Amino acid sequence: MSGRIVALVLLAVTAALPLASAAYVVSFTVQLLLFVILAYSWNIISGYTGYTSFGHTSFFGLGAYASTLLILHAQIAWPLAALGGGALAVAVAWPLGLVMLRLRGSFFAIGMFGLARAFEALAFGWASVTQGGTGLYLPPAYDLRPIYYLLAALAFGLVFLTYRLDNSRFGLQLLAIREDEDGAEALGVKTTRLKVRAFVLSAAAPGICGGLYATYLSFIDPPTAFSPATELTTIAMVLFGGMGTVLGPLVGAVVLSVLYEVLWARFPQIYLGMVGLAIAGVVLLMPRGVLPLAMRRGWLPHGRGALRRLASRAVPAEA
Amino acid sequence: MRTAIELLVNGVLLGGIYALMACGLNLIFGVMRVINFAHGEFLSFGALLGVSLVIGFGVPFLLAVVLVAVAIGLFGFLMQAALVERVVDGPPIMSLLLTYSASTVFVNGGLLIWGGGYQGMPGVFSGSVSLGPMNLSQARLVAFTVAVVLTGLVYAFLAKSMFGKAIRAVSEQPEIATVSGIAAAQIRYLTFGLGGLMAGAAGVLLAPMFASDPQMGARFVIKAFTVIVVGGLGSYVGAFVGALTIGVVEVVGGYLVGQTFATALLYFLMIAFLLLRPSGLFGVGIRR
Amino acid sequence: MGATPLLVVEGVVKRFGGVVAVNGATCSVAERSVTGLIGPNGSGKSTLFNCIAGVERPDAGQITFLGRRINGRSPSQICEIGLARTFQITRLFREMTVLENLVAVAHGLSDAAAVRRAQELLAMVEVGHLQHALAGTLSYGQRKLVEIARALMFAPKLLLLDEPFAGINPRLQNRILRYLERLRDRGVTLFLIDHEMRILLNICETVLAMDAGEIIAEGAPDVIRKDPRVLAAYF
Repeated sequence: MSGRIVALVLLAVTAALPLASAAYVVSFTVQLLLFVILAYSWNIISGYTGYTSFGHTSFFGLGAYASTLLILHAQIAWPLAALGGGALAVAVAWPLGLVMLRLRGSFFAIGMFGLARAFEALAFGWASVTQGGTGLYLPPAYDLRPIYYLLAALAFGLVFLTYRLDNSRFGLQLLAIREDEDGAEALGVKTTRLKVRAFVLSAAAPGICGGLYATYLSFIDPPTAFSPATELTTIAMVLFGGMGTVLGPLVGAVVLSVLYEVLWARFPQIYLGMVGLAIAGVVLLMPRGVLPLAMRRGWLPHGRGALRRLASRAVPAEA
Repeated sequence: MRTAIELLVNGVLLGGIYALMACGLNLIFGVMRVINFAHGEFLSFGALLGVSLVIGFGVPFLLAVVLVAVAIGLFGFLMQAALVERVVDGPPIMSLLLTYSASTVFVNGGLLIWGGGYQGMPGVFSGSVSLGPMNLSQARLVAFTVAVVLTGLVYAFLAKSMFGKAIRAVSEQPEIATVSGIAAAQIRYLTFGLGGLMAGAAGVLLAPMFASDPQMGARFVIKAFTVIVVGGLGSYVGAFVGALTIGVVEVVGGYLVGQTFATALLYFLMIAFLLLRPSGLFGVGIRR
Repeated sequence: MGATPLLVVEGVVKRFGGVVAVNGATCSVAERSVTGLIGPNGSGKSTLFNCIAGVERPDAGQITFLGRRINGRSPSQICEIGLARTFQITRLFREMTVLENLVAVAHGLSDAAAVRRAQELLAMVEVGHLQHALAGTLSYGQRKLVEIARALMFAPKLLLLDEPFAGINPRLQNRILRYLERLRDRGVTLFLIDHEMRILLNICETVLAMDAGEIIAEGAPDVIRKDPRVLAAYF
């Protein structure tokens, strides 16, 4: 139950942070929360289900544009507009998932990468709506705390959701798809339905988060909305922490955010290269990430504990 | 009518250069089932290196093509030996992640070396040639000719030389470890080197037509993917035909709906092929 | 025959490019029977199984299971009607524990019920002690046993077994034989591919022989063993 205590402490610190600290710390934490949200979302489809997406910023960007346009043209309050962004991301992800998830492995990754590039091109080209490369401006938000708290709620919600997923049959079935999709299908797992559900689930929060981020910046343009750097950073975080684990994305996001903050401050011109090196390093040196390593060494309990507990309840003594 | 023919010819000319890039990408895929995400950077480095040589040092254009091709070829060889070789037996997504991250590092390296601005090659083949009723850009004609010759040379190398035959043998049966005494690892290095060489040359050939910058790779690598998906994964001839097709689609599409939407169109073409005809026009049809 | 056929295969054809793997195979499997399928390598046995399980879509012909036409349905839909299978080369989810392998494919059960059922099945094939082991760390024989248990998770009417006795020692073969007999006694219909005549003689009531994509003979095992067409196919 130490896990619960840690979670409560984290929650308290996150809640108290904007009241007590400098603007710099808050803006750093906003970035961190943003990446926690993106990392957890990416982890659902790419970590658990094994469909590595190189274009999840598509949903972030769609959400950002949708919510900005809703605020500008329909005068909708920004929290609702952000929800609208999430709704659009979900509405797009559903049919898209049915199509894209028929691609496997590398081809899904490239298909998603191309999708983000196509959206970016459309955002540039459809200038009558998006103002093209000039971008869209929103009236600046003077009080950033509400945005901060919404991002924090979303981030904690996703951690909790992932914990539930990890201990559910749905989560196991997603892992089965990752391991051997055809085998799972042959054994009665409804793979198409489940993976589309995972894909939609992984698109919702980035959509909302894109809307919140646009409000936070009071600005959005194609390179910000569909940024390959955002994509890459997200992937690096989950890879580093451990794909398909509950705490991996959090560990990855915190460690790499701190690392990048140091690098960003001193050498902004090599930011992208450093993210690339981080990914290459993880792929070459510990492709499973930190958390699975810690689990195997016994420093951390294994995931999917609920099932184990059920099992030990049913059979008290092992033969 | 005249416009139609001119568009068609221009499309084919552009496609010839894409062929040079995509044939190498497909060769690598055929031999080791690795999709080289950094292939775009082979091209952009080729272009920028070409600009530096021609504009900075006054090297003649065609000599620059040769020098850059050799340099990028060596770069590709080393990349395979140092990086990709380590994950070549792992799940395909690992090698894709590795080349994706390598691509990022290269882009960043390019920005440090050349800066973020666009670099042109003014005064090189800037004229045009009248062919009957058509006016064709000199740069495109030269680039197309060189590209097709080079693609043909590599094809002949694959067909005739011992190394080339070994590459084809491994491509058809990736499990085999040695072909007539040549180790599979050597074949992989050489293949990656060849891919680099071709993409590097394509970069220099593009430089007189379009301004180059270190971030241009992503745009071209997506085009190259589209080409090999349409042409057929793993098929050299397929990549060539696919490249000409994509060149025409891009030029004609750009004329009809504008450049931005033509880019999106290419993307949808790629997805449609992946879903409906995963073996492409000529391919062996590997979906994983 | 007597009993009503549970599975009816009529004129099934499956081509891969120019190669005809299954060429108009026709056969049936009686309810509560144990039916064997033999034939030389490349005669189309596994492809026929894949067609029945919905992994491959037949180019022609009809497959009826429990009175319902099943060709064209997805594997998971066919599973749901009551057909389960094991694979020639075991396909456990390697990164998951043995217990998780079973629970993942359960349907229509609560988590607690699924765990209980999984533990019963693992106990039945006497690998209960391995429930928390990662599937990837099991020996080949253990994987075969777990795979049989996993296929039983949703109480199938028909179990397709693709070479359950191949590549394991005689002691384990006898163990599996014993489990299969127990399943038969519980009313599960078994349809299995194998080469081990010794075992097929032991357990099967009917043996089908396949060659070049067609069913060439059908009968009691000791009759099939001496059938000249079958001998001709093998030699």
